[in-house]
Amino acid sequence: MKKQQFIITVLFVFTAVIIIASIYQAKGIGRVSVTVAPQPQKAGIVLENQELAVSQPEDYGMVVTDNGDLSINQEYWDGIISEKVKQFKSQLSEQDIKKVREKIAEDPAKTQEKLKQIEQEVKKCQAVLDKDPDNQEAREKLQNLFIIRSIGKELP
Amino acid sequence: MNNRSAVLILSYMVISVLTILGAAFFTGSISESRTAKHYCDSTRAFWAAEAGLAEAYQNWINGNAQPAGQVDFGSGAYSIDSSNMPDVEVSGTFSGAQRNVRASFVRVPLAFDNTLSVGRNLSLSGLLARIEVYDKTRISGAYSKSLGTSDWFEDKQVGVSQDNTTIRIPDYNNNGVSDEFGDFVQFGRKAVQDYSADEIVYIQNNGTVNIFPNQALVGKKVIFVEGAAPGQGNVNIFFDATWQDNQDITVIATGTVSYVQPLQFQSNARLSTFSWGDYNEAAIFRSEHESVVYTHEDANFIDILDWGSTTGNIIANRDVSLREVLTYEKYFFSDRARNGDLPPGLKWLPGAGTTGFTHLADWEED
Repeated sequence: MKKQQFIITVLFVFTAVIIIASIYQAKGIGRVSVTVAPQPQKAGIVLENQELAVSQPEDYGMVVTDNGDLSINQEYWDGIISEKVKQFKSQLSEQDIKKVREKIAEDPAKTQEKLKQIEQEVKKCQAVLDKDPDNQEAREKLQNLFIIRSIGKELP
Repeated sequence: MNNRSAVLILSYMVISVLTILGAAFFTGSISESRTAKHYCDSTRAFWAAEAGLAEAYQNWINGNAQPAGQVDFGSGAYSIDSSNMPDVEVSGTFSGAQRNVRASFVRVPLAFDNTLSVGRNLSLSGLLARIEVYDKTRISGAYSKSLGTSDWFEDKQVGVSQDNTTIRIPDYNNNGVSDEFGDFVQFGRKAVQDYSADEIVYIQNNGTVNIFPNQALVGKKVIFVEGAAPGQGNVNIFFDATWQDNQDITVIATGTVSYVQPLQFQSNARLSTFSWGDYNEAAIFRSEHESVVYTHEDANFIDILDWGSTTGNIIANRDVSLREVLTYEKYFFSDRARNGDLPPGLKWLPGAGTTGFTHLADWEED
């Protein structure tokens, strides 16, 4: 008789544990959150009072000059452009470099003619500055022409 | 233990198992029911938010005020927050569930319907030069050309309203006057704030920033060079070929933008420029590129060395001069911006106004 009571007690305990565990598990299922739609990334929204971090031009390979600074001469730009073109070429694939060469080779006579026109424009600017050294427009244009001339020297 | 006891125990075990299974199914059923209700409520809240967004868009198009507070919609409700135009956020609710959607209401200026939009006069000068402009050319002032040049316009009109040829900067600095330098600075800041830190370059400089090829610029959306006063914060752009295929980048400057294209060959990339000062373009070899150009002042195309083409929109609030020498340049129209595919940062340019092509852009769920 004692043996029977022992078996029944064990079964009761076993059953109680199973029931409690199953209820606990079922409650757990109920707590699972359901995502009803994909949550897209936040983008394109302006945050009020968001502070803008100022970038340094040098970090992006940019060169900063004063507007129309005449102390910056052709040699200065030749050095800068030579370095930039080297970097540029290293970033290009063989196919890209081929494209560049094809562009230039489309009409070599025209390319040479246009390079001559750069020289003419430089002379015009220098003539203006000889008469009026403070001509800001001519100063800025001359800087750009120096850069273009340096690029012409570095073309593949 | 006799047989009766064994049967009793067995019966008890069967009953126990059935009870466990019953309890599990019961609780599972309740859970499923709750999930289904939550899904249903959430979906209804979403469509309430969408209904609110549709109403907000219609109100905006028609110039009506947006409703304040919660608006009942069926058994749910929505509320519209338009305090940060052109971004609008709508919250939909239904039986405790809430869903938020947001979008930008963009009014693309009429000038983007043209290949060439000139706020004042257009002049063509030079020697042995020919230009061809496809689609619309709209000029608020007059058109003139010198001897030695030839032209062809598919559809040119002069003396048109500046509403069709110019873009004015909204009063972003809230001083009661629009289209000022301070408004342009705020426009630039809003444009860069629209993107994550790794997509922008924000430079404060009063000199000239010369942009050359650099791998660090790949993937950037907006470069903003901010000077302290008009005429400061100039930008020169060299080697458009720096940017990778399909890149779409906007350069904004408070000074002038000079775009020198020695060898542009990524024809499927787009470079747009927005400047408070003049826009100067000098293409020195064959170049073909897609571009949206806006300048608050003059646009000067000094194509002394070019025999390529430009596709896009050129908008100058003042004069456009085409100084061509030994040039055969073509300008083609692109309807991307007009149709709402705006270059990065541009949604902040039109801002206020009642004319333009309306678009709902940048829809997303919060």
